[in-house]
Amino acid sequence: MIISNVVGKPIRLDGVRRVSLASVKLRDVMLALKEGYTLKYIARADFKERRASVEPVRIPRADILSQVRGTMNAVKIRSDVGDYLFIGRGGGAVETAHIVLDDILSIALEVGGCVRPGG
Amino acid sequence: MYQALNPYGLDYIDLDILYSSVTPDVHVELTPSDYVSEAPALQNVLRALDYGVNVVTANKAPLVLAYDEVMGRAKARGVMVRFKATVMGGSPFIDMLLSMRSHDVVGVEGILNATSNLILTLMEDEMVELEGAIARAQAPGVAEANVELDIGGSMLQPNS
Repeated sequence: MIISNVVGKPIRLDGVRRVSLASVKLRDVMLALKEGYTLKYIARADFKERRASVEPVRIPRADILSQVRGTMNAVKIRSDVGDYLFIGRGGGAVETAHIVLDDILSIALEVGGCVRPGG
Repeated sequence: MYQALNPYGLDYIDLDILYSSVTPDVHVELTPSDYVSEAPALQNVLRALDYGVNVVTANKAPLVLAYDEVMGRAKARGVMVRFKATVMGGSPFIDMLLSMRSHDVVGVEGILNATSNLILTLMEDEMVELEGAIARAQAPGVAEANVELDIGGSMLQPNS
């Protein structure tokens, strides 16, 4: 929902389909693996349809998303210009602290009147 | 005991008292998300904006629950709201997305919840059931204290 607001095409809460991870069994994970897939908890948003979903999805092993493991996150962005892939830590104390600090610094630089190019 | 050791301390924060004695440049909201009661983050953020204070939030609840209100209030007071840590917390994803000004973004797809991805990875690597993986994921302090927030899709859903 935050992403949808950032791109200026808000998706309402009732436009989001949610399937909990709670029903996933070890059997499902192993069966997917055996058949050449990795089970991933995938978030999708379609800004044309204004719909989004979050659900466990079987991702082919060859797909880059299946290789994003542990606390790593990844997002594929589709635009009218091209496709983009962004991979990075989804959390972590030091990493997240830096992100918050970067936000504070960007405001400080702007308030202080020393806006850097791109800052 | 706490009071006795800290005669000048309070075990709570009253933003009105705080803001009546100091004039901060930036309010940094790091409280945990609560999508039901909205407390305290949404109230804190709106209060700060009303005082004309710039806001940085790592708590996504205020934006999920009231994006337009928060941004509208900031615009009205001429202050900034930054929220890079609310999506893909440890990475500068939002900045990149914001910089794609001429793009018509038609869709996104991905893995946006570190805890649920860690849980699935642990199930795969160590062949443990969901409960065992959750217990393991909570150990390094990655999972929310309320795991339902992670695995129920309510964290991801706000992100998407």
